[in-house]
Amino acid sequence: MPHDISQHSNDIRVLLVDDDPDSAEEMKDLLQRMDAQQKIEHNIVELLADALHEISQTHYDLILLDTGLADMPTPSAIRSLRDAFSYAPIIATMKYEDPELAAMWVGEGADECLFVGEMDEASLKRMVEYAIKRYHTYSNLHQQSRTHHVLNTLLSLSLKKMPFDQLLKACLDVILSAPLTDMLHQGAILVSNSDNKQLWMMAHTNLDPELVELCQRVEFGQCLCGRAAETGEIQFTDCIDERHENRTEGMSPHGHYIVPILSRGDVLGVLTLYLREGHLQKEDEIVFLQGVADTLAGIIERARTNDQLALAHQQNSRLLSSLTSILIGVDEKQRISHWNDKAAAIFELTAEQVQGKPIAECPIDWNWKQISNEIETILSNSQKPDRFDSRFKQQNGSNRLLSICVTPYNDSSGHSDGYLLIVDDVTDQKQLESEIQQAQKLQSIGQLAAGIAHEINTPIQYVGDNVRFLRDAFDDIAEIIDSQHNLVEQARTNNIATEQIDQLDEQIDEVDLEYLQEEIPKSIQQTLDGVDRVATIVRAMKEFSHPGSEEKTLTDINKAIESTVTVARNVWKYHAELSLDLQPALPQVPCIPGPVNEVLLNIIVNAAHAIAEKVGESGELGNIIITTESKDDWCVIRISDSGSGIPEDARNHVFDPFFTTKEVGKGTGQGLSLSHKIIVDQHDGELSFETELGIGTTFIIKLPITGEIN
Amino acid sequence: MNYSEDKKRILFVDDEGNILSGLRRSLRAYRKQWDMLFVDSGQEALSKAEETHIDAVITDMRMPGMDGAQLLDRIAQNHPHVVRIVLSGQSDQETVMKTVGPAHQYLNKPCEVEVLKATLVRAFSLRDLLGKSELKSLISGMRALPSLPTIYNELVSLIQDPNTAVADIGRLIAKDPAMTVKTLQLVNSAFFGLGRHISNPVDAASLLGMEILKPLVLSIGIFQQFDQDKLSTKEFSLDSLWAHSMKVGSLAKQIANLQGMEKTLIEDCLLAGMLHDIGKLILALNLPEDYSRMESLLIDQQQSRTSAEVDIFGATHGTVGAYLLGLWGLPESVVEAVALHNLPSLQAEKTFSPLTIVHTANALIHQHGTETAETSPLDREYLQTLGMLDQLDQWQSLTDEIES
Repeated sequence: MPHDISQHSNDIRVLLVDDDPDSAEEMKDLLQRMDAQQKIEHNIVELLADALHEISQTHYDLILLDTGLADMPTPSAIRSLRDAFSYAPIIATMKYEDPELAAMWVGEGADECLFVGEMDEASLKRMVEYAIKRYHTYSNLHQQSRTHHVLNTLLSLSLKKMPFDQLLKACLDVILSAPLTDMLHQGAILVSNSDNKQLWMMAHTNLDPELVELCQRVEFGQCLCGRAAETGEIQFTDCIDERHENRTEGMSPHGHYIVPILSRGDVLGVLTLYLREGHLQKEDEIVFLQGVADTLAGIIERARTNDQLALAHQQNSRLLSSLTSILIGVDEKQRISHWNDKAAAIFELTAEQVQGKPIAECPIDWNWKQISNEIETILSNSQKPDRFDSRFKQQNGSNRLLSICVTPYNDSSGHSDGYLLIVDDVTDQKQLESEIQQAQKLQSIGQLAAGIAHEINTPIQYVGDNVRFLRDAFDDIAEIIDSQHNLVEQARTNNIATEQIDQLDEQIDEVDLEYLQEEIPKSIQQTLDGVDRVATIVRAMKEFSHPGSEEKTLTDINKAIESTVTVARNVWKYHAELSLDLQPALPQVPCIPGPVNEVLLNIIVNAAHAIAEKVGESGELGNIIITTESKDDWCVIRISDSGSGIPEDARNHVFDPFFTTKEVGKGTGQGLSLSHKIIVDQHDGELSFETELGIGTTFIIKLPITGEIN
Repeated sequence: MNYSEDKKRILFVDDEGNILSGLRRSLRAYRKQWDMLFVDSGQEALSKAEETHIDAVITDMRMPGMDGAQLLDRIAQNHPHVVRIVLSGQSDQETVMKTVGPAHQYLNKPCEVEVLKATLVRAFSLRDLLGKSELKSLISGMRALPSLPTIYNELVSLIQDPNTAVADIGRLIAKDPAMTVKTLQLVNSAFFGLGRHISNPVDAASLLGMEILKPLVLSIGIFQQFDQDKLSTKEFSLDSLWAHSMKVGSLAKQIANLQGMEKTLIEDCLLAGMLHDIGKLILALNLPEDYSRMESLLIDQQQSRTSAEVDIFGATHGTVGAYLLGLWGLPESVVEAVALHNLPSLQAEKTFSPLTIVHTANALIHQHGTETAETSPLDREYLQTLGMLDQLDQWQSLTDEIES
């Protein structure tokens, strides 16, 4: 139970130090007779040493000291008592009146020196009251100065840069040095974790390790600390009472001040102080402790804010350094203000090397003139796209391609305050893109390769067979010619034996000359046809692939169609008959022949597949019809198939990249998307289609005839 | 070897008229041996095969309507005795895979007439020794030979393991005669364009590569698992047949090594040794009742195996096996060794060859297992003619090593 402050503050404890029992008794009577407002308790000791011991054990408000003690030969001996008794009044008593000596006693530390013989109740009372009053004034002043000192130290600590837990520990030690009566040099600071209503011990001094373990986490409401946190009120106890729930074995008796650390009604933590058992609670202690708690609240709040700031900062830097883009901040004076890790890695320059320097003077092997022009354009015109590409050379000499994005910094008034460059190394990406395009091209050529091999192997087979036949036939005919020659020779000599004629007839029969005469011209013709076919295919392949031509040239579209059809013959011939209806004297079209041929091939292959899908393995042949005409300023190519048509739900996606209706592995879904890009983006043309389910599809390519030629 | 005097009738199928007339003209020199028919579509080829007896079909692969693979499938079903050859200008894997089952051999365009002729001659070899056309049909109708289930299962799991090295597959295949012969058929077909004969299954597997082996084994199923329960004759055990074959193969290889034969012939010896009794498997598998009857004839009447086989099947197991191997395009010396392994004196030109070694190895291995000694006696006279009789002691000791 808390003690009643008023009840105890009226008791005055007086220590009588006198080795003369009579005089001590006299003094005691005098004290008791004294008409004091307060109740007076006293104790008598005979020696200075006893007095020193007594005041170290028990609190006294006043000492009445006999100057004739055996162990106190001179007035200076009072010093030890004065030092130990701090500001409490000491009244020296003399058995004989000696004003000179009295002055010496007062000079050495006594508050008053009285001549016992002259002393009466009234004068004693006056003296005592005066001494006590003065004592209180002094001790208040002293206490205030000590408390101020503690609070100042705390505040100055709070400004120091040190980890939170170390800071709290330092604070705790300062608090424990405060002049609080009965305070033991033992204590802890627990900080609340408001999320789950828990106190975490962050600092402690001279605590039993077992207790530290036990009180590492304290729930709100649990034990004295938890109660202080929950109620927000100081908990005081002068002994280990039932509220003291957390206990360890062999815990020595003690009391507590548990002070909640509050900020705007929030409990930030508690300060736990240990008191000697039986300590009486005092108002001024409470005031002091509240001051300490307020200071601690400031410290904890600041630390928390700092933590949050540090965390935010840490998160920001982590975010920035994990960015795979280069970030370069440039201030209004064109100096580098920010340079992230990626920038350091790619440009091989550390932030220290470049920060604060003008960006134009950075030792980077890039075309700064071009870059700064682009930046200028972007900053001055918000409508322009904010990204552009630029090359730069790494220190190892390898060329990289950068994609640079410019974001202006504007202050609140819209005034430009520098800009931010977000730079990406897009070398690999661009390379990949071009490889994909190449692979796409190779794929369409690869599709053809097997077919072209077949187209060439077939004529070579029959050319070979026919030539072998001609070789054998020539052997046979040569023999007949020889025989005929002999016969002619003999005819010249008019000496023909009929057997010889029969033999020749037999020979002619044997080699079947009639057959040979009939077959040889055909065989030669087919051989020539075969050679022609190989030549046609090879020429078509050459025309189709158009090596080297990357720029728009005037192109004969009819011829382009013919060679594409030839190259793709093996793709369509098993599914369709293909007819061409090409407008004679079609104007030449400015285009890049390679890509246009790829578009034609793509659409023809799709047409063949559409027909194959429809006829299945029935052996029927569908139709592919290709027409060209010039209309106004357009060259119009129509490629029609009698295939299955494009289903309605697919029609809107025909030109989407990666869209395919073919089974997995059959098509990449890139063909028509790429074709669209080639015709529309590269040639300012149009690519469209008309389709009817079950009837077929017509793709229409329109290319401008009067285009630019670069 | 003997070839028939009868004219063989060969049907050529190609949608390209010029190919047909080219073939007709260049093959004109063979018009006395062969009766040649030319048609330009699969449908027409099928109706020709219905009308008249055909011995061989040589077809293009890609044709409108029915393609070569479909045609050969139908021919194999309806006319199993027909020799089936693809002659194609197509070189993509997908198409070739389709013919692995139905075609006996695969030739690439352009193909010289001589190659075409040699292929046909080898496929026709021993055909007339088979006598009954039933045998021809059942042999040319076979797409695969059964393998030992343990090896088959091991192969299937091995081939699905992404960490498997192709050489491991080859070594496993080499443990099974049926897989060995099928793999060699494939790798020696013209599609793989090797232009040389491969007799070693490990080489064959690495030439084919995992990409081809995987679909061949898993989806096309070129290998088959032997099912003893389905075999109605109890006289036949695949395990003991293969165990014997492997022994003969390895002895033949060692003898060839000892005699300092060249590498390809050593491999031929091993292969021929492994495959020499493959005819027994074909007979037991397809004609189990006759096979049982034949086995009892051997025991009851003390008749020689050769004469018992001729009595019952009209041909020896050597001829039957050799016909299949010839049809599948295995090397000539292997075909000969298998055909005549019990009758080496019938060799047309008597030379020291894989036949000599396989005959001897087989006889020596049989001598060890005493009860079957009678069935494959060593032809000392034949060895004497070749002047090899004095080598016999050395070979005998190799045998002892293998048997121990």
